[in-house]
Amino acid sequence: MTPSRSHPVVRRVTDMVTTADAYDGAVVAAAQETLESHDLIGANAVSACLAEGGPWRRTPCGLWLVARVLDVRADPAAADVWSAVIESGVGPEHEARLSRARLRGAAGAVADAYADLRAAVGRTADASFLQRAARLYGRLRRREAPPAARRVRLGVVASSTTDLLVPLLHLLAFRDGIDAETYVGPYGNLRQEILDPGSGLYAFRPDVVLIVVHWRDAHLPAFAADAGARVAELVGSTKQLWETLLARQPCTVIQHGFDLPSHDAYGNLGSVLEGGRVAMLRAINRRLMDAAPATVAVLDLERLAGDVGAAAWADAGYWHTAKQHPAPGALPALVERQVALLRAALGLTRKVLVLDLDNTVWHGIIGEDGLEGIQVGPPSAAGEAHAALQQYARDLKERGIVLAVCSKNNEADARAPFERHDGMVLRLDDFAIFRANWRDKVENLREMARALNLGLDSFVFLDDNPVERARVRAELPEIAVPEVGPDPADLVAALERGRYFEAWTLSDEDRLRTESYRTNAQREELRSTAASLEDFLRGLHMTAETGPFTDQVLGRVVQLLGKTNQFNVTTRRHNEERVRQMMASDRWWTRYFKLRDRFGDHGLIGLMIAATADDDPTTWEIDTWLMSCRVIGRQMEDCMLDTLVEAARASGVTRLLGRYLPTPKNALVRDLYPRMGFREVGREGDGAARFELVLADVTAPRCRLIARGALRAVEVDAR
Amino acid sequence: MSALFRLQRIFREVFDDPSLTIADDFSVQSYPDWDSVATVHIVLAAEEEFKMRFTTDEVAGIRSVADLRRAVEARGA
Repeated sequence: MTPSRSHPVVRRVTDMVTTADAYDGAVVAAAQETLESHDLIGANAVSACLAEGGPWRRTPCGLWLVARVLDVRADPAAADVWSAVIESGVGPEHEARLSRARLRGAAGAVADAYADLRAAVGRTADASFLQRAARLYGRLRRREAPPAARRVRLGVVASSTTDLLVPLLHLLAFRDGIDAETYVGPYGNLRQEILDPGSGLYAFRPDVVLIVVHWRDAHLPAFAADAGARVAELVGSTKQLWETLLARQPCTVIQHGFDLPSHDAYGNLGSVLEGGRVAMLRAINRRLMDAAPATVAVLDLERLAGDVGAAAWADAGYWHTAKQHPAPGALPALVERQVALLRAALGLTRKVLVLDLDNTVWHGIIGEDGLEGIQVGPPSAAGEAHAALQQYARDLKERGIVLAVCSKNNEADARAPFERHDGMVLRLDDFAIFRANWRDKVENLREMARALNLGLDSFVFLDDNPVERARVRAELPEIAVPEVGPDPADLVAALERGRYFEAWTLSDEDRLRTESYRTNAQREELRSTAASLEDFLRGLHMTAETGPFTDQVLGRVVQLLGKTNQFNVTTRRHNEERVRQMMASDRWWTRYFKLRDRFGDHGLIGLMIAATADDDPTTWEIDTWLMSCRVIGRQMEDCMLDTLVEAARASGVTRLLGRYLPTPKNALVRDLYPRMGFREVGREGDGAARFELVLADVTAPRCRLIARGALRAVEVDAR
Repeated sequence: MSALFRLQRIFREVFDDPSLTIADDFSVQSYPDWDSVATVHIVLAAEEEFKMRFTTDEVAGIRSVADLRRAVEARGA
């Protein structure tokens, strides 16, 4: 007797889940309810259906039902069935992963639970799902710290409730490799937390402070006759808060700009009249953005509300009952922007966009359809959508994102549209690297990272092919791989959603970057023809310019301090306030370094900071020594040390002390000090070490291949 | 599908307990994990599940499964 014949209700359920071949969430839910409402979850007749080889396991709906019923039974076999569900690829994978994460966490396999949770969160932006995932994350995190590349102390001060916001912040930061320790100020005590030096916020010593406000906090009437004075007052008091906060605690600040109220008794006049509330809020936002120092980012809430849709953004009901603003459904979009700025503050912004070609950059397959067959640009609608992606990529390149191609094609075919198709926006020289071949994309991507001297975690990979996306996700989880649908009109939106390239500031060096990576390719050519490394370097005709930090270079200095990971001996993330203190103090010696060669200008690529030792005026301690990885292998570090040694001698210093503080990313400079002639004088925990250089032992400059002088003079000479 | 079963699914998700069973007398008093934040989560999920909006009064008065069931069934669920 088969089990399904044994009980009429079980037979009905078997019919429900075995009739359809495809997954249907409603069928699974109905089947589960049928069993539960007849109190059959624990019945023997059901046990036989659940077993391996049982009738339910053969169809997608049945397999889901087995997993759900085992969950209700609290049966440990549920985890294996969820694994089978995930492997089968049917149904919402993020749901299956969340279920498995919960079971793995309960079974003590917390690391595996985190892996499932991270994968689940990366696959959906659904608000209620993310809230559930956030609650599980909170429980896991209380048991065991999550795997994270970066830890950050994040202070949150808010005028609305943060009960729903903060768990999401934790979750999305975790998705991006950041373990956020948070302090949440008492509800509504935003100003007190910042003004009171004894507040919990200061005791917490945050690295980043998030100031959460919205239009109600401006306390503006619907109309004010003295609009100018009100705007000035609010801008002034906000600036005062920033100054107080930054003076007491070195940190970066993410400040909400104001959104706009969804109601306005003045109607359109509220925006038109200078004294209208909307007009005043807009004026305040503009002036806050203008007034923000480099350590403060103003998050444009008005624009975000527009992206979400004004009707979906605010919900008066949730405000009145729970002091929740914006509407819960808008929170994922808000937190996504907050986390994007948090990533930028931590130097985790992505730097490279790798594009597939066929059906990504153009519509069609160049190897089959030929130059005449592919569509890009008008009059084809699909062609216009691909051209729009190209324009977006071009704009990214203009602001410093490096573009690359990774395509399965014959190289000549792949190049042809760039050379000869009128509809193309991108040109070959927009790309730092162009790889069209028939090799595995995973291998190509690895090689690209090596060639660019950048980590895979700075890559975003855009490909219309789900198989390639799945493979890259599985093999190279550090790479961000946005999910894209079949409609080319969604390509730009797919890139936008991840906010991968959110930046804190924009420097001249950012704009130069692609040029720099491209000229690197030319240098590589010279390297392959030069007889020796020294010939190669000499052939570059390098000139370095150096000088103490000034206001003109401060933005770039703070940017490099914030994001340089590899060639960075101490990884001290000094913020603008701190650097200004150093610039103003006699104790500190600061130097920036710029480099130029015959192929191009690298811009400001290195920093050194040293301080006179507290106990010994003849000793300098090296606080910071960092260099952009673009100029590694150019003897730039020798040039930097020569500069330091000369300056130290001129100040009567006889000894330099250096310290190496290891991080997951700076193994590159573990042996920098010994290589430069320093002697190890002490070991500390976690692989940290201290080194000494006695200046009397230094007989000659180390660097012979980089001239030192003003870069502008070189340009004049070249003409 | 009955309103009670749909609510049960929501409670299981909010309280992360797939074997949780609820009845009308399941309440803020009888279940200590049910705090004000949980109420917001339950309201949120129920609004999505039943495609409806609770009034401000209703939300303030939610103390038990019976309260929720009355509110959703009043809208024909």
